Amino acid sequence: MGRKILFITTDQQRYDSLGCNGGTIARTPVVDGLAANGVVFRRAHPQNVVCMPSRSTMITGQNLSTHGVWMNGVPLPADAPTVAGVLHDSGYRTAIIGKAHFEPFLDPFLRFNENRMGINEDVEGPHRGFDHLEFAAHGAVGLNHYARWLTREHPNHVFCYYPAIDIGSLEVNPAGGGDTDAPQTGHNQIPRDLYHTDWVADRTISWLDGLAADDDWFCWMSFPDPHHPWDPPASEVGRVNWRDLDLPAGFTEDIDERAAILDTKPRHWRKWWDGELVSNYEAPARWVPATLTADQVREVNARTHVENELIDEAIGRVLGAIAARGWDDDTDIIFTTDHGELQGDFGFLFKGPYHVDALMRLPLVWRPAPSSGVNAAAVEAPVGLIDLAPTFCEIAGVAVPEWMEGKPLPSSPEAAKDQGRERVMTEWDSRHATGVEVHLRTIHRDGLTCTTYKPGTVHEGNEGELYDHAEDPLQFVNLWDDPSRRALRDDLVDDLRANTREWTQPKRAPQAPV
Amino acid sequence: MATMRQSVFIERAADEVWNLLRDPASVTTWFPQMTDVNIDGTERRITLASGLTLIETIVSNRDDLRRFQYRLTGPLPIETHLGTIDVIADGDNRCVVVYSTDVIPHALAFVLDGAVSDALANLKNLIEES
Repeated sequence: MGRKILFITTDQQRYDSLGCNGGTIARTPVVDGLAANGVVFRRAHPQNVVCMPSRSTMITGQNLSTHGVWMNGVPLPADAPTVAGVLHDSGYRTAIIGKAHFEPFLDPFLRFNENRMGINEDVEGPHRGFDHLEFAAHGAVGLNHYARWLTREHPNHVFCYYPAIDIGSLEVNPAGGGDTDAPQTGHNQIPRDLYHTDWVADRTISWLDGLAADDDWFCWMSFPDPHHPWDPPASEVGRVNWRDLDLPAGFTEDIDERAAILDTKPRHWRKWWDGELVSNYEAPARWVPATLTADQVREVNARTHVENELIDEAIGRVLGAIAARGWDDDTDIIFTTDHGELQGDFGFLFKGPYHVDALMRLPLVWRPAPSSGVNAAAVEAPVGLIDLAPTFCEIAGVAVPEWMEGKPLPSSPEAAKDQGRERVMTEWDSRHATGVEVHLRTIHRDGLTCTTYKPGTVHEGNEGELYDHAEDPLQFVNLWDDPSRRALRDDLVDDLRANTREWTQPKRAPQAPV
Repeated sequence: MATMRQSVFIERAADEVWNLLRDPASVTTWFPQMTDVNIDGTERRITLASGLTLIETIVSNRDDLRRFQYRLTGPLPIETHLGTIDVIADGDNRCVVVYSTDVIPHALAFVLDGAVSDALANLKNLIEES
């Protein structure tokens, strides 16, 4: 009997949202407890800051240029190798419950397996190495199991959710439905026990209950929250009163100061803020970020904190079920997310081609199975989500396949040093249906983040960003053009180019916006 | 307006390919996930495997140009759409099928173009293996 693996992901969660990472609003005692007894990573980055590419890296352990999912809407090939497949072939029972998103959501022609499974009870796994698949997304409308279940069992609650997609434009809905007219906020009257967070935990417990005591298992429990829409159950919203919140440090209340900060950055930042550029589908096209108010930032943050508390409590229930089976001593638990959320920083919400900590610095906690004897530690060295799949192999005692391009996470600072971990890379390529293209390549090393740009619709290819996190943790000061940092910048750019796996094959066409 | 284009070379005479495509009811034979079709004058209704029924207006069907055009009008939220299929001869026994999509909202462009890409691949297999 080997070690069991509970892999927990959220969607679009910031590093600073957890108590163990310095968060002071949301109460997250369960994940904080895992951190206290496990390994906390202080600098974990995704290889891309939107869902499909990042999740494809998690499941394959590969760079974007290898798995080919370069933007949302590009499906991961059905026959792509996955860590779930490796574990399945090694005798593990495997499941994914919650948000998968390796294939596009918007699929009226029903071309993709995930959506076929979601809509049709007769279509089941195995798929991508998972024996069992049950999907959820960000509401009750869509081609997934949660939507199907809620429609069948509780039809009166289907339309409680805020409509995340504007039905007229099929874009992210810009409308406000909360107290401050902030986009993607809503008053959701759904009972808490019917909310998708609790459904994901319930279905995970149900799957675990069906396993034999001596089964080895790998379960990816994937919560759709705290990704927008920000509409947690109304019964829970009172946990955090937005009127009582301080503004996040990354939101500069003086609008002129905010504009001045943006003007030091490559011009797509300011163009988006002014409503002059729509480069990607991950934010409402018809929302102008310059209109974002302080109260809207407070409300979005408060609702996010509530969602994070609900996730923490749901995880607690699942851990209780694992303990009740007597499995805790042999179960590794890894908690992370696919990317971050701007959540008011620089005057923005949502995500896009903006390689700053809000989107790139992720919570990552690994509680090794107590039976493994690994001591609690904090690792400052940079790691990536690309390292998750090899880590799962190592936990399972399975050789890491050559097609995986990451390496097992270090369990201590010493192990990180032995592995020679110095840098982590993140990339962005996007092409909007209007033809707008944006291309970024980023390295984080030695407490510095350096981003280069390739020629695109709004960039010449000579722009860049350089931030020193020690002296500028909010990344307000772009040092790219600072003559005194020129040598450092050149060194980072050389390092970036030497360690980026560039594309050698044509990029596959997107099949949907998300 | 988002404008997209897909094309495929088919090792058959243009007239042979056009003979299939000019029939608006033939779409269920070559366009994947389309399970049923009903035509009433210039209106074409296509039922998808998902259960959705697309409503279209046939705009032109020109033998002289080997061109078929249609507008998708519902139930997807269409502000404007034009689908154009051209069959262009490339010698006596080879042709290229060009399938263009112009659409608002933009969000549908990749969805329609992706489905068209599948359809053209299927069309090529269907005709070349017949």
